[in-house]
Amino acid sequence: MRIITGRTRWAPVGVVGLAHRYPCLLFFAAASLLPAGCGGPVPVGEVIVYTSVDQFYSEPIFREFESATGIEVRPVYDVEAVKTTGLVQRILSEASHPQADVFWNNEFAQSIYLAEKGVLSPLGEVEASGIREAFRDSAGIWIPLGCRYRVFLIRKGLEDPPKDVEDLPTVLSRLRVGMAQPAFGTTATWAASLRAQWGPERSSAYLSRLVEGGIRVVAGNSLVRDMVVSGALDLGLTDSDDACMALRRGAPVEVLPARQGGAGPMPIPGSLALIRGAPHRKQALQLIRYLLRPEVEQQLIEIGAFQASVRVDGPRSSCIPEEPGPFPLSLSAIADELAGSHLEISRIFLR
Amino acid sequence: MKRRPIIPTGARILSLIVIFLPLMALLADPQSGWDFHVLLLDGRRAALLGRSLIFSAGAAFFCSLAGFAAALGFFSQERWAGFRWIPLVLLALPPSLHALAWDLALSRANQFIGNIAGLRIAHEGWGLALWVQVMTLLPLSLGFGMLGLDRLPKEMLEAGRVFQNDEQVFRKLAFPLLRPWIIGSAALVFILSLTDYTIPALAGCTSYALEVFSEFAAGHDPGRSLLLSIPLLLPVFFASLLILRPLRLLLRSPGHAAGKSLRIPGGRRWWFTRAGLLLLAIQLLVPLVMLGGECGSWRVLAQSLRDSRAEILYSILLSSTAALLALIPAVFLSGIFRKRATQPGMAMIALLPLALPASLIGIGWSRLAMIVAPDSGVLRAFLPVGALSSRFAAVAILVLLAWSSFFDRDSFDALALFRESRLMAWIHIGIPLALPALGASAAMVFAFSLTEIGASLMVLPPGRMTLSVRLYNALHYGATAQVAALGLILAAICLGAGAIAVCLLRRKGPL
Repeated sequence: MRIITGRTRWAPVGVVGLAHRYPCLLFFAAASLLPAGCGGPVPVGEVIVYTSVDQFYSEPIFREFESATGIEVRPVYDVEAVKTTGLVQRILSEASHPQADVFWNNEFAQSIYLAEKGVLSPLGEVEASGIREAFRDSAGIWIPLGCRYRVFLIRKGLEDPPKDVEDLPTVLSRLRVGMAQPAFGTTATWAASLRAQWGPERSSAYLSRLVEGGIRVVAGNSLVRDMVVSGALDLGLTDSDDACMALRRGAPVEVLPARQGGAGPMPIPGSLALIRGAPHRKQALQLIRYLLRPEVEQQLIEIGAFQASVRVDGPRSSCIPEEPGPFPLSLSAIADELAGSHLEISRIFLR
Repeated sequence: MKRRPIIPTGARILSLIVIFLPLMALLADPQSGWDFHVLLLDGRRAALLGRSLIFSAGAAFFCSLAGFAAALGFFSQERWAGFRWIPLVLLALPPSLHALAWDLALSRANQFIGNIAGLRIAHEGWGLALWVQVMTLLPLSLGFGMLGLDRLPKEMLEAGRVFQNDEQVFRKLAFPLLRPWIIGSAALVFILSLTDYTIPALAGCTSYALEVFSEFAAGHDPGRSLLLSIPLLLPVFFASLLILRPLRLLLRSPGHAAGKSLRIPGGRRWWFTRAGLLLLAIQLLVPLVMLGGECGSWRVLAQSLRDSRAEILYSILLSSTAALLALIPAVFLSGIFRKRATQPGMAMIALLPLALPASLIGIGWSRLAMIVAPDSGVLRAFLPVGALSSRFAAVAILVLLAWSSFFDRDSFDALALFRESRLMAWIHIGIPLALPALGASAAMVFAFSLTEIGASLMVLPPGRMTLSVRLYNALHYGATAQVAALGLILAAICLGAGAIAVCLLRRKGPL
């Protein structure tokens, strides 16, 4: 190590001295200013969207909205790796001084939760016609947009696949079956729907049978898809967007609706909401109206973000070959069971 | 003569802001319920904690052993002297990518083995989780091992060789001096393994960290998550004592001249170093070959590079700034410029952000911004830097503590007498002396920040995205080629940063 001594003349003191002695600090100083400069007060023609819809799906839609209106969309994306809880927590922590204008969620349970917490603003002035009654929020706080389903992704040519989630425990002895960790995301919502449909005892016994039968519990729905594609699993219970993505890529797999107790598969409608106290309310409403246009929903179905419309007689992706059929529970009834279900899930799966 | 403290008061204030204020803001979160009953662990949680402790201890043991063996083998090669830092680059790959690479490797291996013998290696279980965890954190242990070897007093070893054979010299002289470094690396691997659920979860195993996060995901209650994290904090505290204790012992001995190489005693231990080198080669090659193979072609890599230009630039700036900011609390809390070199209580609290779910650190900063200046765009843009600094300042502190035993305090004091102010003494003498340690700390924080998502996601400015968020989005989308390309880009960024750091440090003398 070399220590510089014997200099008779000092460089300028203080911060200037530091910069003089260590010019690389100038880079870091500039670096720290760049993000700051980019995060300054938002101009009028902007809208801030917190979205859990994958960037690959939502970004092209935002760009089209920008072209059509001149309003810049500044999104914050969620990632599956943090179990899509990041944005919800962020909205809650910013509740006193909201930063976001729109919450575009790819499911419904978190939107119901945020509505209960009072951080969403009613969307009374937004017209959303033709939406199926089962998907409507009675309070009009959020509006559904695009629908996914719980499905079975199976290896092509698999003999005698299960038709109903009730069949899963019985096929575990002959098939390698997997699903995502039910403590998180849409698998947690699915577990809550079992509880709402069958009651706590029966759903608990069912989930216990899955564990005892050796169901493979993996980190996320996309991993379930990847494992079926790679042949590590014969069958996976996952979301239709993940499953249909494998099909679109030409993987040797098939997609079947995961019927539930004789009814249709659990639907997972996406949801759009306006944040209470949104800084750019006018632009936010413009974006919401734009996203609610039937052609945008159709586009989202075509690119694979959703597999069916939330509208009566709306389009459906060819990935879901047959009409899924009605689901007997309301969305709020499912959401109501989430807290109770979590306790059971922890007891059964996190041990 | 009483020695004057030389860290300006401003640095103390900044340290408090970076480490303590976000935690205080978290405590004041209105969402928090403060259900203290969760502190009484039920049987299930106790079992989860026990399993996590065993897993982390196993990872610490095997990782430090393998890292030490690899360092011993790596260090003995004089011709590799300038490239010893290269294996550390893979610290920049997120654990998920290591897991992906090993999963791909297992699939290939199963195809091969299946065709020959009809056997199949399981893609799940604690064994696999342990292996991937060890491979992921091996560069860390390797770094500790090389640091320890670099600081061995060569003269003492040569003198020992006059009277004893190599075996005896190694056993009686070298190993006791290396032990604190091995223990230190084991403790750090233990802490990182205990507080991160990623790899066990990917291998289908449940850990206590996953339990904390699942409670957070279900209840959105930061206070409850904080309380649930306390059982993790206790082992983290004791593990960090294991890091500090040997360092304190080292503080009592004078600094040694850095040796460039060590003649490794031959004979019975050759297989140990060869095994270490083999593991290191596997650790390097499997992710690079698998990701390279998945990436497919240079065209995909170039396309990914073009598409993610903005994210790459933003990630580099964010991580660099966070690395620089983290040095301030690290310098202050490690006390490297003080007579009493460590402030254990403060340093322990600085470890807290490592043991908490990452999102909580982001929420702490978000809450802090809400309290201090809710409408300040500049402050909000600074939040990701703050969150990353808080999260990884502990890493910088540990590196500085490790280095502080070699700080020539007497030279510093002697030279400082001729300077007119504390600040000038610090700028012209303190920083040059500490430059290698500061560079190493910054490099570590940079590497960890580059792949972080939990804390930064909570505070990223709208319209901005880091490279790791893009990578995880691609992972969910199933764009494996793009994931592989982005992973390679991350590794390349770290390689570049490492090369710059090494060049700078060489220019300044220590390497």
